[in-house]
Amino acid sequence: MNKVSNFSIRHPWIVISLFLLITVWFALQIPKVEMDPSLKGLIPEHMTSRVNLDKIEDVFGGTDAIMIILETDDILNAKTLNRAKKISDELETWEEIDKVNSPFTVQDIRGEDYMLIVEDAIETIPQSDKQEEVIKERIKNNELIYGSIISRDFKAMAIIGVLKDDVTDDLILTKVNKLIEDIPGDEEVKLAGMPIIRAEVSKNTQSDMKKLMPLALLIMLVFLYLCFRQFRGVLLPFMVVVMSIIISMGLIPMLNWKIYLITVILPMSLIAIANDYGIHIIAHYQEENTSKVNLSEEKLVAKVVSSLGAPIIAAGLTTIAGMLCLMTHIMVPAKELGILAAIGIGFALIASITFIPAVMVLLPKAKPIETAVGEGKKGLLERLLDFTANFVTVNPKKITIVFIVIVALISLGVFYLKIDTNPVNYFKEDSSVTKATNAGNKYFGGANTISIMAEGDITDPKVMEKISNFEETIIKHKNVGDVGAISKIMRKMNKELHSGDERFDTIPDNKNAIPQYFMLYESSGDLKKLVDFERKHALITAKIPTNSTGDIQELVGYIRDYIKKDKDSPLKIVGGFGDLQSELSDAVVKGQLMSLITAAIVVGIIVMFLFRSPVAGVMSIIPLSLAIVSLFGLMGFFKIELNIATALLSSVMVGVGVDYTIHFLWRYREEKKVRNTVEAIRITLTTTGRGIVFNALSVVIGFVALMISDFLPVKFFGFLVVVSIGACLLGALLFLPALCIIFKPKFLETKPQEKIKGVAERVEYQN
Amino acid sequence: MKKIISLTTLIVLIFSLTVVASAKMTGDDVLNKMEEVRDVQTTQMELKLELYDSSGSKRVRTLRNISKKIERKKALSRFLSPSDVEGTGFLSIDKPEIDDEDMYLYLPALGSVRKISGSQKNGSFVGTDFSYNDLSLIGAENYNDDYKAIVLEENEQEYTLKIIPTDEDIDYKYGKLILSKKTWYPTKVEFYDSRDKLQKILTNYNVKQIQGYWTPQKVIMEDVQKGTKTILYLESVVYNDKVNDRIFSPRYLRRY
Repeated sequence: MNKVSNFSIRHPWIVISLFLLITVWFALQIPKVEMDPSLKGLIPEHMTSRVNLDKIEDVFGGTDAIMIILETDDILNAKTLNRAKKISDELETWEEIDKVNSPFTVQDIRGEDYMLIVEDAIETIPQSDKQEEVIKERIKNNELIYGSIISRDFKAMAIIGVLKDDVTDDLILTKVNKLIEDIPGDEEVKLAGMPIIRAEVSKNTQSDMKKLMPLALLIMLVFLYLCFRQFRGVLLPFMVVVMSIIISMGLIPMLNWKIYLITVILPMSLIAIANDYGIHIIAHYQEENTSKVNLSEEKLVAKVVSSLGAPIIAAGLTTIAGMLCLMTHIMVPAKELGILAAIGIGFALIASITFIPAVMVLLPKAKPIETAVGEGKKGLLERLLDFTANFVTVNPKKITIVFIVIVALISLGVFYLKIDTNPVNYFKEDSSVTKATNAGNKYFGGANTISIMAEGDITDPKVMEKISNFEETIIKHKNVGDVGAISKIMRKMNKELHSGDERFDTIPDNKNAIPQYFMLYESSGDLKKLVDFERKHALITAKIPTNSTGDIQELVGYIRDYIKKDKDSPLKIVGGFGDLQSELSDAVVKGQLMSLITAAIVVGIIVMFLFRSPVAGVMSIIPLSLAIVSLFGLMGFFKIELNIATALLSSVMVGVGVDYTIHFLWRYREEKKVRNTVEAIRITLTTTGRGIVFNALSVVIGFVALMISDFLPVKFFGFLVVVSIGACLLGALLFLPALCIIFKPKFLETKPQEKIKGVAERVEYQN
Repeated sequence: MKKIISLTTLIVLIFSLTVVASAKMTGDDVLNKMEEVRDVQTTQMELKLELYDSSGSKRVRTLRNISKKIERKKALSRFLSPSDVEGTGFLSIDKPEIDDEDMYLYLPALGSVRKISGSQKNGSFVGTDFSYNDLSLIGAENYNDDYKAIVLEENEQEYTLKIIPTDEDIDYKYGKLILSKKTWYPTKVEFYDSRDKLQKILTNYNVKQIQGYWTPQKVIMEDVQKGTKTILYLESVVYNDKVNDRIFSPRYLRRY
């Protein structure tokens, strides 16, 4: 290690140009990055809900749809209908759209006195109140429209476009927005549907990140300057952060990976973590510079690097190991994120012990800065650290108890912690997405869907009867607002072919009736998303008027139970977005727990080897666990749902926390060789503690900026970083020292002869 | 003298114009001649329909079609197979006086006849790629009822016409029809949608003379936007045989 840093000190230009070259080369790769905003992309191909959705999509094609909702007092007025028809007609011509469902495309079939009338639900636009009344009555009798594309109170209409496969969300959102603008009107227009939500999520995340990240970085820079009062203290750690972000992002296209929604966490984690090592080097440099004014810059830098090398590398390795534990996560993007972050951190680590020393030796020797070690006027931070040191050494037991009580109280919040994977819940109550989704839930039976695929001879009355029974049962479930199924059409046809007689609102039992009804129905409407061409599969789609993942999970369970009761049930596959979401919730929790536990164990083992003591491993895990528990507790109290992104971020942040612990323990053990416990704690807190605080506060203060965002995920990112780093900081500076004083763990105590040797070294060191 | 000269010029002028007119047929003339060359009174044919979806899966149906063109157009279609739709019948009787037609349906499973109302012209004929209106073009004699035409190109062998619907119930914006001068039967028709995009292609294969009438043995209608196609095979055809007018009644429709 020393050889490497000595090389950088002797040949600074080679090292600097090498780093710059690598960075530029990786930066050139970044434009090649592709984005995959789909929800499906998050889920591994072998997971049941993904397999099921793929099976359904194999037979029926894509099921993603956009919903344009028009709202006004009287939806059947001529002006509104003219506008709606224009929108519907235009949508039908789009290449991206597979099928349009609107009152102008869905057929009304009705039987009157041995006549079968087949026409568009709204064939002509009513010109008088009387005509409007007639249409209103007809719509009320048309189950295929009433309550599903025209609201029961006639205040809203939906124009639904089912998308073809491989249509990008951004494109469709832009096109739909332009369409609405080009066909203006007085009606309120809302856009719902998963593609719209996904596009809004990625748009909002990107725009807020672009706005707030620079602000966060700026605040961080200002803070670092205030801490170090030297430009090298600001610029060098910052450059390392920027380089490591460039490397890890540039790696994405090189590995043939894609950016997912959660990849946003990558640069954020690196901002929080990658400056760690550089800050400690600068802090230690300043500390040594004050006490050893007469050393040359080369020697000073060499000394700083060699004395800090081991803890920095250990801290880096534990963080990298923690990141790699994300590879145990079920979701592919989480695995990739872990690897990318690990590489980014590895790079930052190397840069901190080579690139930073190389630049430093080229710079003139810095002016000594007054720190806690030196005499004279002390800064606010130094005084605060002094106070902390006094406080901890005097009241270790009180601190431990108070700490545990507070954490225990906060941990109660875990019971309020909700898991939610529905992206609608990323948006505030008054956002357009939430309003549109709620309108879909209120007027049209729900904006979310679950699909159930039946297999068998769909034209067999027995099979159709079972589909019909199922459809009529689930519509009664409280979390189902509307059901689309072939059985509904069959009952309707049977009724209308019997002149609208309600007694024939049943599945016909004549075995040739269904094929004949199919043939007849196909003359006017298409059965595309209901029955496949071979008549071997049918798709039943339940609309869900709730955004809660819990409710959807409950419904999926209910449907599975229903199917299980009948051994011969033609209903085989439950899938669709609702199911995907519900399994995703499980994956989030399991993935999270798995990677957290693995990370804690791995980190513990590394620390154990580092200090050659099992107790050290346990001691490093304790503050970590407390931080995790408080984080989840606070999330519960602040009603922040555990979703894909928040879960991952908490995991990532843990990697940082352990660094503080290692830095503290390492320095403490060094100091312990020459001092008693209380003195050692005091020195550690005022020296290494200073680096830890700089590091933690620079991140915390920067990320507070994100909390002003209007977009919940970004706001929550801010919150989570602040809380988890804050918790780890308190753990390392208050709780850990208190524990050291109370338990005096053996691995931190040096044997008498080592103590003497330590003193000798220390004395030599001073000269 | 002057008068004589001007009269002669006028005569020459008129004469030459007539010559030009007879040599150059307008698009509508062509459509009318297509009908004139086929003064078919009755047609009885059996057809095999093969429906293909976009992934290539196939469904087969056979039907008998009887049509008569005396006074008004009447047509009866009856499905012969598969067995679950056997007997299903459609009857249409043209009402040129109100530019409409009466359409009746018989479903054996229902056991009774229903009159169907509402515009069916653009609707698919029992799930095939032919709309009801496309179907009436199969005999090649009905183009002039619903379309007007402009000659786009003419050479020794064929005419290329742009056909534009005159019936506002037809959704196509226009079509491009290629007509063989030898048979006066179209070889290919392309239909374009309201956005000028190619929607369907109808191709007539193996056009042979049967009882003196040019008749394709195979017709393919391809929906290029949906990726589906329907192949229609002519199994048998008899022209101008006597057909009892009684069979074109709802009562007869039910008797199967």
